[in-house]
Amino acid sequence: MTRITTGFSDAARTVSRSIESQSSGLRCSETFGLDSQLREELAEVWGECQEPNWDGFRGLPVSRDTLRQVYHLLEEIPTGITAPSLSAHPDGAIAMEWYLSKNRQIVLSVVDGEIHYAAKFGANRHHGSFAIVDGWPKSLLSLISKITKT
Amino acid sequence: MIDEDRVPAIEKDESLSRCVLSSKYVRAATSSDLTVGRVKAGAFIPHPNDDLSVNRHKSSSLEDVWQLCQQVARQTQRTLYGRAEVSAEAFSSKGLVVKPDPIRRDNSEGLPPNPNHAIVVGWPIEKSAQLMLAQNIADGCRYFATDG
Repeated sequence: MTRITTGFSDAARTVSRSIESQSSGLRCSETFGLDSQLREELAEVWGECQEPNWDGFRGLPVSRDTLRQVYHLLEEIPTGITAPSLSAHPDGAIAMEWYLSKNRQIVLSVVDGEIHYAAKFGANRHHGSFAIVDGWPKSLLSLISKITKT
Repeated sequence: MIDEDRVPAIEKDESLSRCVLSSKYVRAATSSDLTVGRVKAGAFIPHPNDDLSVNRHKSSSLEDVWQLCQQVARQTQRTLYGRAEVSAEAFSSKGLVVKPDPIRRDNSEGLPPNPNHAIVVGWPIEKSAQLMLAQNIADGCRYFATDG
């Protein structure tokens, strides 16, 4: 039997279905929403970090709520800001990182309805937290934009 | 390896290794030095219980250091991608405390012994402050991949 593949992994479909099932307003096709590479990356993180002790050091699992929040945030990254690299943290957070150099980088940790960040921009150091109320906090997007501007 | 019955105090210039068990914690190399700028902050985020496990290099050969990391990987059923090497001072200069935490041969949890085990404690409660510390420590560490 010939197997037809679409180049879109089962893991990525699972991420999409998981989001869709909890929010019918989201569009998760390849035309709208996250590009397929970012969706695959998120799916990899999700696949790796769903279970307790996923990191071997008693790490907490990433929840579906956190996955959904990160998906929304990724969808809403404005044009002009590059896609972040994704990973998970042992407190159950999904992390987004933009890294240009040691002195131009920002890492965000999204968990429990909050975004925590730490940034380096030249000699300046910033860190702080925001509650996720209505998408991206403007000042955080502004900081990301400044750090990632080439 | 350290004698579990004579565990010395941590010295500030002592080398420590953090096992890297997730490929997501490693960045692609961007310079000819493959050991710098490679490790993400996530590798140094403490467990929610405020301790970060590391292995001391004290009284150990490089082979011993790698064997301890492989032991951690086997015990946790993870893949060892590499180790992030950092000095004890990299933690203590930021207000953190490195404490010897040897896992003895007769430990009640049935864990493989590791007299070189240590923990880093004293992390701030505020998450963003933890993230900033982890970022700084990761930036200063050297990464050694298992295949390099």
